[in-house]
Amino acid sequence: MSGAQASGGVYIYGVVHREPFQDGDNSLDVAAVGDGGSAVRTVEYRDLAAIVSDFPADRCDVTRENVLAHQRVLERAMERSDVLPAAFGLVAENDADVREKLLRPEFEDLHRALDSLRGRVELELKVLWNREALFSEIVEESDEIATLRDSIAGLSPEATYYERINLGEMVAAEIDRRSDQVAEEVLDALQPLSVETRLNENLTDMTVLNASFLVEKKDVPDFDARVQELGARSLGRLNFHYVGPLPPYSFVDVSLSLEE
Amino acid sequence: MTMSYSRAPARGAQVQRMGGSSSLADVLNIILDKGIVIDAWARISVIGIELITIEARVVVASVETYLQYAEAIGLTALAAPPQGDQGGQQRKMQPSEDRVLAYISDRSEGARLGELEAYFDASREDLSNILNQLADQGKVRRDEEHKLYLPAGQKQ
Repeated sequence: MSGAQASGGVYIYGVVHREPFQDGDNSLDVAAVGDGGSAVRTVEYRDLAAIVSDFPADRCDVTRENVLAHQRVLERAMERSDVLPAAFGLVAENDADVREKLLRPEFEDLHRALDSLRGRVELELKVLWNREALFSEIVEESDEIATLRDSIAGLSPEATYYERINLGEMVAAEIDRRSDQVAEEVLDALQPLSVETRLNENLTDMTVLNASFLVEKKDVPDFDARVQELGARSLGRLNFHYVGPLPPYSFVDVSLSLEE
Repeated sequence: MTMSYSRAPARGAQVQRMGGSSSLADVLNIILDKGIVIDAWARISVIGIELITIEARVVVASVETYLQYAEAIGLTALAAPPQGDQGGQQRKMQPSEDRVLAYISDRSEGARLGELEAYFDASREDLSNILNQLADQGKVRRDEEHKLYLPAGQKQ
């Protein structure tokens, strides 16, 4: 790093065991966050290392390229070591700060966190309703809703404003009920194969479940099989977005506010 | 990046486990919010965040949503002709505007034409027409540079 500190710095991807990155090969052949051209390398302290690259700018824009680079670097690192991933957008001033303000003072906590994730990966599952299928089954299976719908069919929206709101409320309650039921089934099937589960916010009304699972690497094939089974059983009714293995982002509880 | 069509499986397809970098939209919130957090070193540009992370949070307990649901329930009767009417021909049917809109609305990261083609098993021409209509109505937004269709309402 040059002495200029007005802009730029060192981007941090995460913390790993030092040993797999030694042997004179501490660079990862993968594009860096920022301009993509900086070398991705390690900064070491005792048996830990931070994966970093020189960062050319003041701010870290949340662009597709940058987020993708962050993720790709960690995927590459995961091939060699357990990884304690950093959230996107951490930039230290220089290598010395990475070592002296992060790795050295937080050594115990980082080590403990990394050890607790040994041999484990994160799998991310979103289960979403197929909108058409959901509304069809609600009408077909709820007499109350079907009756109210039929009673206002063909009448003008203005004349039936309050009936429509009432109908919509009943549908919303029905969606909730069905979503809870499906989410429970999915969790019952998958939780026995996961070390820990974290539920994330359901961002849309069509989301049944948005969960992160911490899974032993050796259990991933079994976990896959269960997800396949759930998917096959609900074909056309639900959509599954199944992503992983990820560095265990959701299971890192390291939040630091460093004193300057 | 490699295009992936399988995050929402086509009829008869298995659920595929996608790598994080090929399914970025699904893991974006995790990458931004989770992991080691160091307040003093976070240099995320807030302007950038608006570009890709604002997912449409549907406020369910609102009159507007209830009216939408009522509408959706009313439509199912009309939109679901008895099985067999299509003569078993499921191929290359034109998807409804609503379905295309719903698909795009679920993807704050945007969707590509090729992806939509694969998902709906529809012709490029039909889809382009639908997308043009949706864009004209201001319901979806075109990102010419990245060849993406995005939910409307996201800040440029």
